Amino acid sequence: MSRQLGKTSHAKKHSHDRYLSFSLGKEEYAIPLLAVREVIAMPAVTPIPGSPAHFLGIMNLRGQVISIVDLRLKLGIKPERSDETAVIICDLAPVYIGVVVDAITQVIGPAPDELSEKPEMQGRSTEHIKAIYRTEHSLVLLIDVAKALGVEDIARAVKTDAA
Amino acid sequence: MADFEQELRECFLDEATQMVSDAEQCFLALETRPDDPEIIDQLFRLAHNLKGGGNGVGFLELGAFMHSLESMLLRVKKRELPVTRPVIDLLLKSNDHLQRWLGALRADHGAVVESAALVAEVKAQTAGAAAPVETPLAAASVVPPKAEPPTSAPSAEPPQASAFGDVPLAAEFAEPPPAAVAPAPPAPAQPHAAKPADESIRVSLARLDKLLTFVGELVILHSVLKEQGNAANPAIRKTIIQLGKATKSVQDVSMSLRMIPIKQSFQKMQRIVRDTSASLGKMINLKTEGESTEVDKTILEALGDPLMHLVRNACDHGIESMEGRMDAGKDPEGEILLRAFHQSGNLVIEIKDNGGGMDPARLRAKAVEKGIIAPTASLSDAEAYLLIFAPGFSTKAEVTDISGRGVGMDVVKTNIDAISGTIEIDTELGRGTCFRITLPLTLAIIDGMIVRCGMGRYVVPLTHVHETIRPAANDVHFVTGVGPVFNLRGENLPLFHLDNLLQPGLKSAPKELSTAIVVRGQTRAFAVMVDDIVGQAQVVIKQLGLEHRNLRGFSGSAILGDGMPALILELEDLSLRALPQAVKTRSAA
Repeated sequence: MSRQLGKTSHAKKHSHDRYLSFSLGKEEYAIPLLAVREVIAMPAVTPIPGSPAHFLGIMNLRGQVISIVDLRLKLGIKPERSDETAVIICDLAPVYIGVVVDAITQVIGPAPDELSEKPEMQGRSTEHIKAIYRTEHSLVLLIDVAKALGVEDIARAVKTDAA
Repeated sequence: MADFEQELRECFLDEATQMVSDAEQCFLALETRPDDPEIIDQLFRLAHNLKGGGNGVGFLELGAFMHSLESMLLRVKKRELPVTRPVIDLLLKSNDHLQRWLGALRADHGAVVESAALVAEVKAQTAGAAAPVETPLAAASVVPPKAEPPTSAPSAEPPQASAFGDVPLAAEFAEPPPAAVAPAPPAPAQPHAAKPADESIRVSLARLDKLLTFVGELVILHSVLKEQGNAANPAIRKTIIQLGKATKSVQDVSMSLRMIPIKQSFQKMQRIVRDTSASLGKMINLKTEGESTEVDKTILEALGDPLMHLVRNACDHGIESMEGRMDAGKDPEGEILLRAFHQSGNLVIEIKDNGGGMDPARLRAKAVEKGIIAPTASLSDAEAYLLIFAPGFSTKAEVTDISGRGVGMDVVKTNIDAISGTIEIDTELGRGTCFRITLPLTLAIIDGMIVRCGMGRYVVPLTHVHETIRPAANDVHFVTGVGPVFNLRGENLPLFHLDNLLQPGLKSAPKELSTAIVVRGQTRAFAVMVDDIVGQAQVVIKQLGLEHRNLRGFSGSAILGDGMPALILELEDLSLRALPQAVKTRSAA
């Protein structure tokens, strides 16, 4: 089920700082490769009543029950289902979380001078964005998955329950 | 009674053998790192457990021996006795002696093992032999001449007979031991051969977890294969069916490996309470509840020592003397209640006494006196209660063989931490103390009823289901402010719909009546309507990830036969959530 990842660029220059890039809608994002445990096709999911909307539910990954989160719903991107829809199983010690993305693009290894500071945006939280990687053709947002859904969402789940 | 004691002793011997081999590792580690307080603390705990366990199952001589050994270790711990080669030699010798002793006991529970000579040596070290311990290696120096204790048995060999020689063993070990200077005495091999020692083995939790994960996968793969195999030739079909049977057996066996009722541990406590209260001159009645609660074996094993210490602690510190109780206007007979139950995906064990409770001011004063906290430290009452878990903390003035060294509660905390449990203290001065141990169920297996509600399937623990019934239309009435009420044979139960419980905001159209599950919980009885009952199954509880750790109403998840996960419902929690006001008035009443 693991899919062949795209060609590795710049890998020779910076073998340690590599990222897995994927698309959400029309945008490109990337997360540190070391946080990725595996990539699987969209599994069957059992919903959890009372959890936030982007918590799609739980799945059985070879005997382990793992929560599946739709990053698109979390970031406010319209979710669509296609053959390329994939789930990245992220190792956010102490938890594993499956993150639904539109498509896996490739593994990138940006050089430090190719990264730029995140832009100042008004009214929207950009805390989860670590840096921006600009290439000739595209713009990739390097994000911290734990920040994008981890800690905040744990707090959210608590609140939902208390309400 | 005889059988039951027999079993307890067997169990103790298994544990003790493990402890002794652990201790050996510690002694060896001590040789390279003589100043490591952690090793000494661990040794101390091991010795303490061995003593308590031995006394608990009636091996009193063993307990007495451990007491003297413990006294020596205490001197080491207090740094009054430097860790030199002779000291370690003596400790190792004691350890070997224990090993042989346990071997003898395993063959015959009434075995008598002579250990006076060794006790004399140990006592000599304890009694403050200052000078000779510095002399390296010479075995003779282990027993300082001046400290020949009065108890010294006639069998005390000249100390020059080194290592293992000077411990004559009675009965089973007929061959004269003095010849055996070999590091591994041949004697214990015989009782072991007569009765195989490997009746049970210890397997790490991680390995069992791994096994169960793979077995789960095997089951799922088999069901996939079964669906694919329909068109194939008969031989393959037959093989798939056989594979299914084998898989089922493997699953059953691997699941049953872990779970045992807590009964055995509770019974052990009965004995401990009896003996402890007798030696303290108190009247204490032990009550137990929830003995059939099933506990993961590894968790139960780790719980043995903490339970023992907590129960002894309750006897000694919790319950007051008979005079004290009568002065306070209480029944002279104290009571300790041991309870085990499952709650929200956890195993909860309570040790509750109706004794004097804990005095935070006294705990604080004692901790300052012992140098555990600074005199200026300000602690809340709750923090003060936690002081009892500090190593070396004891409110006792003198050391008895029941308590006073401040090790027991340290063992409790260490062991419970090790199995990622928590311990809470609930105490009221003059009324009693309740220790509540909460443990994760990790891989507990429950019998579950699989129910359907809308598109979803859920598991209801069978123990929560009192009965299932299909209500007739005229048994259900709507009461304003309460909602639907179900008249069950004259009893009025609040009736909930499962989908309303799961999604309280959702206003669904009135449904036709299907099947109701009657739950008689701790706070109240009620009925929950589900769409259908799909079946029953033994399921393995899989903890929900940390991201859901505060989501109440679900005790975990389970993977159903078709490989899909389903949530395990805590109907009582869910119903509390649905009607908070009604509940408050109930629980206040």
